[in-house]
Amino acid sequence: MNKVQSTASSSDSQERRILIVDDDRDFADSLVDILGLKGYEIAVANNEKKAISILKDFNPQVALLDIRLGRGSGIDLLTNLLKARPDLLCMMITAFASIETAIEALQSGAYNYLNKPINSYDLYASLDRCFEKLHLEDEKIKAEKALRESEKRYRQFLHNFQGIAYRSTINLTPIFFHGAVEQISGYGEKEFISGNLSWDQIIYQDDKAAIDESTKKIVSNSLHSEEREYRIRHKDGHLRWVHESIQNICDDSGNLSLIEGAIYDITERMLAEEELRNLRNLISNIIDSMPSMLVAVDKDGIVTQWNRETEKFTGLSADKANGLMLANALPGFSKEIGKFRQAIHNRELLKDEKIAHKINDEERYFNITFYPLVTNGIEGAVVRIDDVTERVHMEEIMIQSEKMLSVGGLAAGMAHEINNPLAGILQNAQVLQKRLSEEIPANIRAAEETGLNLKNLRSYMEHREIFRMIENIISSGRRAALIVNDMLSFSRKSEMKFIPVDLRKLLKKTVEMVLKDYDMKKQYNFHKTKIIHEFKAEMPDVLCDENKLLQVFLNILKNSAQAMGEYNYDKKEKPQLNLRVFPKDNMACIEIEDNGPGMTEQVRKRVFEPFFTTKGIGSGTGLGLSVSYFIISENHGGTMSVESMPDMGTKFIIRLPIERSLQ
Amino acid sequence: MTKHSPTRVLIVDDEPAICKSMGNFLEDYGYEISTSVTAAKAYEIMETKPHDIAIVDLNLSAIDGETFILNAHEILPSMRFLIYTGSEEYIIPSELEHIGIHHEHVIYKPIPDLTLIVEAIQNLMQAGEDEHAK
Repeated sequence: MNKVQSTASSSDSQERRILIVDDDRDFADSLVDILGLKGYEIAVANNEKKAISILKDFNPQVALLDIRLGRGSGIDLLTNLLKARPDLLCMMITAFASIETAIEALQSGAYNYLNKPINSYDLYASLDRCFEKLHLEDEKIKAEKALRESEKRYRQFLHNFQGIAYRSTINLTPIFFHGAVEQISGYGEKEFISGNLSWDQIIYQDDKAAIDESTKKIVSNSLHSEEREYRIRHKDGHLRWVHESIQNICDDSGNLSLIEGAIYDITERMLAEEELRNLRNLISNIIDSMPSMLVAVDKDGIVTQWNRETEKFTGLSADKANGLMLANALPGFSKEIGKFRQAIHNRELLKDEKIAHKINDEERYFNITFYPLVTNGIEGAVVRIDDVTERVHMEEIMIQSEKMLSVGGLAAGMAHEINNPLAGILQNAQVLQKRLSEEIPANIRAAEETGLNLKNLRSYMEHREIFRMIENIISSGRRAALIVNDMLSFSRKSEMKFIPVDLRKLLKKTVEMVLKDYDMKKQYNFHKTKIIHEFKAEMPDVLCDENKLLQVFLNILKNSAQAMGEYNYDKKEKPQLNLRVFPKDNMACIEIEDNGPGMTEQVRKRVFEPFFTTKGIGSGTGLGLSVSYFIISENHGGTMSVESMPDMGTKFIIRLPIERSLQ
Repeated sequence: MTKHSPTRVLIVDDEPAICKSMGNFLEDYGYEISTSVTAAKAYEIMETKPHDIAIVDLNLSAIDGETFILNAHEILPSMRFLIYTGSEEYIIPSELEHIGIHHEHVIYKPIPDLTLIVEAIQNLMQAGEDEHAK
């Protein structure tokens, strides 16, 4: 192998490498000389075997073949070289310019042929054409490759693209419409491209008007873009949410030429958002429908949540309360409210029970609970405030009723035990009375037997007032018997007569009785009391024992009259009694309220106890209200309670079941 | 025994002060009185002579008043009964109603005036005579 001016390993595409295969060494040398002038890289082989072996290392683009090469024909050489390197441009050099040979060579794959003797200009021109052709082919390959790459990238992009990319004419005729068309709409790309179906047709009718409006802006304004979210009807019938970016494009002269855009499926996002919205609504509904006041604060005590119940109670709207300091937002509870800090700090629930809070002159009770919020690092607290006034009152009534039940039982048992000794006292006193008189024959007989002058005895006894004393024993005994009888009156059920009673009439009748009562007139100036009737017009009759109820009303009215009689009123004020009868929660309510001196808490709590009295000894047995209480609770299945504070008057409240099963 | 012989009254009450004073009071009205603080003793007394009327307390020790009345009625069907009780409200059991005891025969302690007992005895005796006349 002859190697001239060459680095065979070079693969530089700029290098132009030529292989010369010729068995005529002189001719080959002259070719080398001629070609060397033009800067070609040249390798020379003098037989086929060498030529094949050089091909690999030298990697020539062009081969010059002497067509009659020693052994074997030049055509065979050509065929074998092309077999090894199909892209090799082979130029035949032939001494005998026979057309046949030339044609044969060209048919066998030669690119061109030259006649000997070689004209160097022809040789240069031919080689230039060869390399020109190679260059062009190279360019073509590069371009094709670039195109393939680009197409591949584009396909990949479209494949990964979760939306639809489109372009259409200004008349909205689609030019292309690619991407996740089928996933989003259920229809194929072709259906849109062919014009069988337009995207407009699958837009949900409720959203159509807004989209048409938006599209109108796109086709009528230059350089305009819109972002829009709307629903489409998927082929499967379901609605899906999409986001569309749409814009118009102008040509060089500034006229609208095209519309293009992208459409994404946002159904899941919208569903998630809707769910979040629903959840948020649900939570705020729950919080708002809570019967408790619920207030959330951050760690600095700034209000962040203020529910409807709190709005109702404070009269402060959530808008105004949010952002205020808690103590300023709830001034009534400023003393307790600061405990939320402690709850946050200790991370534990704190509770304040039965906090008294005066609202419009009325004492109300509240439970305040502080819940620390420690989730996910959000520091703060929820304050819950419950109005437990009713419950506190109910508890008091329950305690009262339990106490009364045991006291009542005790009193009844005691009364029973007292009856026997009372019978002993009364009977013996009566026998005594009888046996000291003179009208009974047995007495006369006994006097005669013992020598006693009955007349003298009688005058002695009268002188010493013995009869009066016996009389006193009997009358005291009888009074004791009456008290016991009173004490037991409520338990004698067989004496009761339940009839439908108009409570308003009965209460009026009782008031009239009190007004006529001579003692009441004399002692308490009851007729000077202003009496206000607040009777509900719609009031059903209530099944009860009229006489017992009258006794109850009488007891209360007497109690009030006495209290007001002893009270020193201001000059402007006068004794006043408010009588109310109204139905509430299936109960008939009777309220008798005076503006007398009222009671201390200690008195109020004991007012129904038997034998408890604040009146002087002799002016009352302390049984009136107690018996009243039992008549209401035991006989009528109702409740009786009292509300009172010193200097605030006293209100007795009786509640009777309206629908009472007939026993 | 003739009509004019005195009415015999048996008083059964576990409190001697009540038992005795009741007896003393009625004695002075001419009744023939026996008293007992137990039912057992009362049966013994009944054996010695028949009584027209028994005034019976209900709360007796050992044998109670109701049982005594039922047994006494067995022994002497002609005997009439008054119940004298300290209970606040006595409901007459049907067995007693059956032998002719009704609410007018129940007197509650303490009786404010003992002459009421005398009236009750007279009424009972009158009723017995009316029945006899039929």
